[in-house]
Amino acid sequence: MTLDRGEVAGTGVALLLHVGLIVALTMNLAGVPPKPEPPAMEIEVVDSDEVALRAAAPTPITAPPPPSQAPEIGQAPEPELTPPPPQVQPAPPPPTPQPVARPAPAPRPAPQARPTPPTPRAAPAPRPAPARPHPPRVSRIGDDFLKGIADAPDAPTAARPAPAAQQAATFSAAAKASVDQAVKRQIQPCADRQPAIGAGAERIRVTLNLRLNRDGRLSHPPSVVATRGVDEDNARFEDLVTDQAIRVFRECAPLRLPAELYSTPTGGWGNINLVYRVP
Amino acid sequence: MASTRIALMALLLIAATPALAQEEPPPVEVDIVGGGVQQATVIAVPAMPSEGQVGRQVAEVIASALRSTGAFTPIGPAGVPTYTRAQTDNPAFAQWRTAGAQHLVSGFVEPTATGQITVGCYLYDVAAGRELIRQGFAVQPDNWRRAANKCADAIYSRLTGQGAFLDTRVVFVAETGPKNRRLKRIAIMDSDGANLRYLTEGEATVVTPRFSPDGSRLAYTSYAGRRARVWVLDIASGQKRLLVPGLALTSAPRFSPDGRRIAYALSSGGNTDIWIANADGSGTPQQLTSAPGIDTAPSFSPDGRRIVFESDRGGSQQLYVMNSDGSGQRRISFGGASGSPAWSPTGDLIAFVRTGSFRIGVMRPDGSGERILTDGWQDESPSWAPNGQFVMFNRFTRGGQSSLFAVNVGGGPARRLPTPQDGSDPSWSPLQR
Repeated sequence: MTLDRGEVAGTGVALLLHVGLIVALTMNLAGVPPKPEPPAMEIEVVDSDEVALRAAAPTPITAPPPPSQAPEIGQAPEPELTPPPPQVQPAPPPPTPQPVARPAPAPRPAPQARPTPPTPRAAPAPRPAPARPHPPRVSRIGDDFLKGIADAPDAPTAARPAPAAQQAATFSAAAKASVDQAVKRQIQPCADRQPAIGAGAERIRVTLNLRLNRDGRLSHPPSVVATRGVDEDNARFEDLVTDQAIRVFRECAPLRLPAELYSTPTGGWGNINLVYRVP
Repeated sequence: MASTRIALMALLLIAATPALAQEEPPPVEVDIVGGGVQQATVIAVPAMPSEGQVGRQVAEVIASALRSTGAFTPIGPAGVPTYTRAQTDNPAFAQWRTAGAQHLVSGFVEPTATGQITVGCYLYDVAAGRELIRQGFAVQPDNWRRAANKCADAIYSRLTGQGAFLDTRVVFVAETGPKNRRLKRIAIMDSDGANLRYLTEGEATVVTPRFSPDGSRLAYTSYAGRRARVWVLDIASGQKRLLVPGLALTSAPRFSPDGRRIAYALSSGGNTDIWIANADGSGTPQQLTSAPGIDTAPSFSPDGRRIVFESDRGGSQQLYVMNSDGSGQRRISFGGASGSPAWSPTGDLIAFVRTGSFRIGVMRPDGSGERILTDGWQDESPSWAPNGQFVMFNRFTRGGQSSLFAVNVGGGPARRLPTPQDGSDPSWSPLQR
């Protein structure tokens, strides 16, 4: 078989073109700047028990807390009263033979495992974790919550991250009044359920300082920062008024307040003084 | 190079200083007014873990004692879940919330190395998830009821702010037999009706037994020898002696708050007056009143400086107050006829009998603020609980039967105390040690 001149020329041209194409492609690919390698994902391997402890009940309000601190109302139900597995923490020493007036609870080791089996990752009942968003709840904030704040946008939920523009909000008198109203609106139903104490208790004013996280829960145990109106006649009721103040907040927590007013240079609902009294 | 770094650090420090010094903005202040709801607190009292049934029995006594105060509605131990020893201080709050409990009592009953038992007593605020009480009481195994009452007292005091009164005893006149041969004996029992025993055997009719302030002695009126005379009885030893030797007609004794003196009524020549004598029989009795008529039923103020008594010197039976040396006598009641006064341990009230209608009432020591507390057929002989919040009395029915009742000084229905037979003239002991 012989090739005529046309075929030879065509084959030559085709070869040249292929070589040129390969060279061109090689040159172009070499010119692409290399993509930066994504940073390595850091994974810390932790023991499952540790995860469970971190995800345990919210910050207790008593110090030192009993290991029995419960989740807030509305959280996942606690375990049934079935015989639990052996506790991690040894039982506290039995009370002393003589009546002991409120002995200070023995120092406890770090938060203990709950009496449920320690299978937190697979557990069907999730524990409240401060870092997690809240489960859907019906907001107790009324439509007029931001009434009086001229430039306030629609009230975002506390769990939503606030845009940068909102974080620059100032804690004006109007904003303060609105926060005051919203806190009252959410807490008052629980206050209304508190029992009568006794004659003279109405003179007592207990001020609780509440440090809140952005999710509306306590970040620190509440502290009594002031007690007024206590005299010789009603001193026996001071503890009861304090108990009620703590109970009122715990029953109605977490608070649902606008994220942009959580903390501003002039104040915010992250730091609340609850002044409680009985009628 | 080094000097440049130092200069930069200094600049940074200077820039940061104002930020560090900046004060935290003040907290948002919110005023909240609580509800003041007038209803009993629901408190769960499940059976305590123990060997045998004693844990359930302790819980039953605690629940019964709390119910008797009128301030609580206990649920349990029947019908509520039990818990293990490990759950004593680790309660399932959510479950108790669901059950409607506002508070929870937990605990345990365990033997000690010395042959006693320890009753653990824990109180929780279910709504707040807080521990309010952690106490324990070691007692002899057969004395578990006292430990239970101590626990109930601790709970009552913590949740009401009032003084304890449940771990107390009551003396009263136990009445048996037909009306024409009525046997009247002094009986003593726990304030919940348990552990009843008799201190006299019925050899003579006895009335008006009164505890000494430490609860170790009784003063009472006995008709032995057909003469009314005041006797003093040591409860532990059973020894008794006449307060005033001789044949003088004495009655209505009452100890002073320090236990060293006894005020009483002495009848002579158709006149009855208030006298005072040393409780140990030493010294010479002193006469405090001398008005014509009947002065009787003295009762000391808690500071021992004043005495309230009843007198008909004004034409009808009324209440009078005087200093404990007999000076400064003045009338304080001006309504219907009033008698049998008893000064409250807290000093702010005097209980009395409105003798026309036989109702128990209270008034302030100056006679103001009178309130009638009962509405029975015939209520008599008021005696105060050591916390000054309850008044015990005896109530006669139309059929002539008499029972012991207690009523809250703040009002509410009277509660009957269980006694195996008729009882009258109660006296509430001080809190037991």
